[in-house]
Amino acid sequence: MKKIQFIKFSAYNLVCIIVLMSMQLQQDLSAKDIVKKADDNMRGKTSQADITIKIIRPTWSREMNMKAWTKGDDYSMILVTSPAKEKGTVFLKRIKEVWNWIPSIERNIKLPPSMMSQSWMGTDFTNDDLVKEASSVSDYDHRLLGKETISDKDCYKIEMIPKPSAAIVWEKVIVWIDSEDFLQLKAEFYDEDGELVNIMNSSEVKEIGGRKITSKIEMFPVDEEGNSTVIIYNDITFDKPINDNFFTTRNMKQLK
Amino acid sequence: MLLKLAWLNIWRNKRRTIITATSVFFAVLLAILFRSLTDGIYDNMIHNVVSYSSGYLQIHQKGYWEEQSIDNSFEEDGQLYQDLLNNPNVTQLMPRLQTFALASNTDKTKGVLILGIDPVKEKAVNNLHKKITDGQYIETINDSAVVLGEGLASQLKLKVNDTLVLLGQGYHASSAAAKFRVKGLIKLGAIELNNNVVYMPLQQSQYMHGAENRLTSVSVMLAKTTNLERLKQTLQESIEADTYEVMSWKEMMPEMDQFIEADSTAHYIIIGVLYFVISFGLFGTLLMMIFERQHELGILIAIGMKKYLLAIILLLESAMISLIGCFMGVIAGFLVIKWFTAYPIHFTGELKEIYEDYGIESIVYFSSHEKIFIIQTLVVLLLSILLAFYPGYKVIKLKPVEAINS
Repeated sequence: MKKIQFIKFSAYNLVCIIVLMSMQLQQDLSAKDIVKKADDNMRGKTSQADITIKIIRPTWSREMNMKAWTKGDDYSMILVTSPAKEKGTVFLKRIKEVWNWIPSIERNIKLPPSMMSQSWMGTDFTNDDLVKEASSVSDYDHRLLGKETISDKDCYKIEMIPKPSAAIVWEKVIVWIDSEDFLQLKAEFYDEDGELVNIMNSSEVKEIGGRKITSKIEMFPVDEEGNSTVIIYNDITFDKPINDNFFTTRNMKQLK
Repeated sequence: MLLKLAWLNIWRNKRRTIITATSVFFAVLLAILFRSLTDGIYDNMIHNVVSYSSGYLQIHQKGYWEEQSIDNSFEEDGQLYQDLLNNPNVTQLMPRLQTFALASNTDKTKGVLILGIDPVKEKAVNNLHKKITDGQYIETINDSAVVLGEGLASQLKLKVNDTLVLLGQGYHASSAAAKFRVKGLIKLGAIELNNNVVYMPLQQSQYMHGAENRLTSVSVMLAKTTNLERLKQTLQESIEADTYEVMSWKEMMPEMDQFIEADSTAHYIIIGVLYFVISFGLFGTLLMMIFERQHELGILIAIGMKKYLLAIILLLESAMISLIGCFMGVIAGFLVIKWFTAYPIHFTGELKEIYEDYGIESIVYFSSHEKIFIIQTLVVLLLSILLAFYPGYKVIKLKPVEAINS
């Protein structure tokens, strides 16, 4: 399951919109098709987004603003714009590598595998969440468990079990996908012991950048009460062409 | 009457009395010096170690010790300093911001301990500036440079005036990244510190971690370290108990406390042997006395002196001799210790180097706790009085006829 796809926002694929418009196909959709539709809804060829991230802890909280660019599955770039102290920090994902440019020490750090499971910028997301290669469509086996209502919306409840070949740490992921807009509204992540580890809630469906998306995503680690991370999309533009050259380590240092 | 008799008796044979008193005198003197020396060495060792590390006592935000994270730091507070300094026993306070980070130079990276310190206060307590082997010591709390442990510098291949890159986690999950000029290298006795420590001016460290005006600990140095636990209690009561916790070095460095305890046990055995030797010396003189005076004692009993009264007189005599010896011993011990406190022994040559490698001053201090005098004197006094029961026993058993004829 890619949590990161919500951060990076790929654009709709136009074909998909047309398919959606033609409607009434939902009735006999397979679980896999539902997940694919939801996945496509949140991604595009490219995207440019303005994001606010809130880290919430029992005794304090903290807010960061970022700009994010993505292109397909392979490229993404995140620039921190506030707070002032961290302004100019850039994360670049190029295929399977993650680079971190820190202006105050003028260093570009390639994140080693050992750091992948650590928290990303102090949030409840891990560095690994940034780079995950796994696709929620092709790397899982899907099974429709039924329908449930989440915040007054009819949802498909789908169990996703990773294929043995996929490098995924979860034993299973359960997602709830809105049967009308095909947006993922909730996901539960279970570890290898079958314990619930993280809950991700998506809400505030808004039309931004010409698409209906969930503009607020909250991540709750289950064993740390009172902790959560909220991602809010302030603005997003889909399918504006971005050159591959944009996603280079050299460009990281010039990003504004 | 008995007291007077005993007093006159002991001066009848001056030489015997003086020999016995002298053996007691040396016993007391040796015991006192031995204890004073070992205690002095321990005190010095503790002082040296705690002045670099934790301080005798340390104040933290409640809960810091369980989770030593910068998120458990507290706001620097003048009131807290005031409350602590109000205690006459508190001599120095050292505010610190202690964190861990990655340090890097070219392609070398290593985890380090960053000690954000007030260079002036630190200098006054542990003479940090004298341990600089290359470059200079940091001068003020916002000097934009750091001092590295020698071992760390050589691992990172850093020299004075090179740039050290630090990357860590700051307050409330902010990122802490900064570059600093290496101003000096420092040689510390504790190998662990020498290989890991980065001394950074406090304000720089606070800024780097996004923790303005925050501290992880205040180390407290004390004038007198006896009754550490009680002092800890008093301090805890004088500051806000809901916000702060006070810990002693024994809690923070149990391994050192245990080492001293184990080492002390060995010294107790040595001092036990010393007491044993002393006892036999005393016993010898008492035996001689009894033999010399057998004739006299026999006559006394024959003319009607009660045996138990005679035994008491002998006991009093021994007690008096012991008291004289102890008294002299205490005076001499006191003088010797006074002398060495004023002019401590400085090691020279190889021994000096060994000590300095461990970061301990190559000076032998004597401890002048009154406790030492009292306990050592009491032990010797008790021993001599116990031994004096033997002559008494002899007198009770004495057969006057045989004694007179001997």
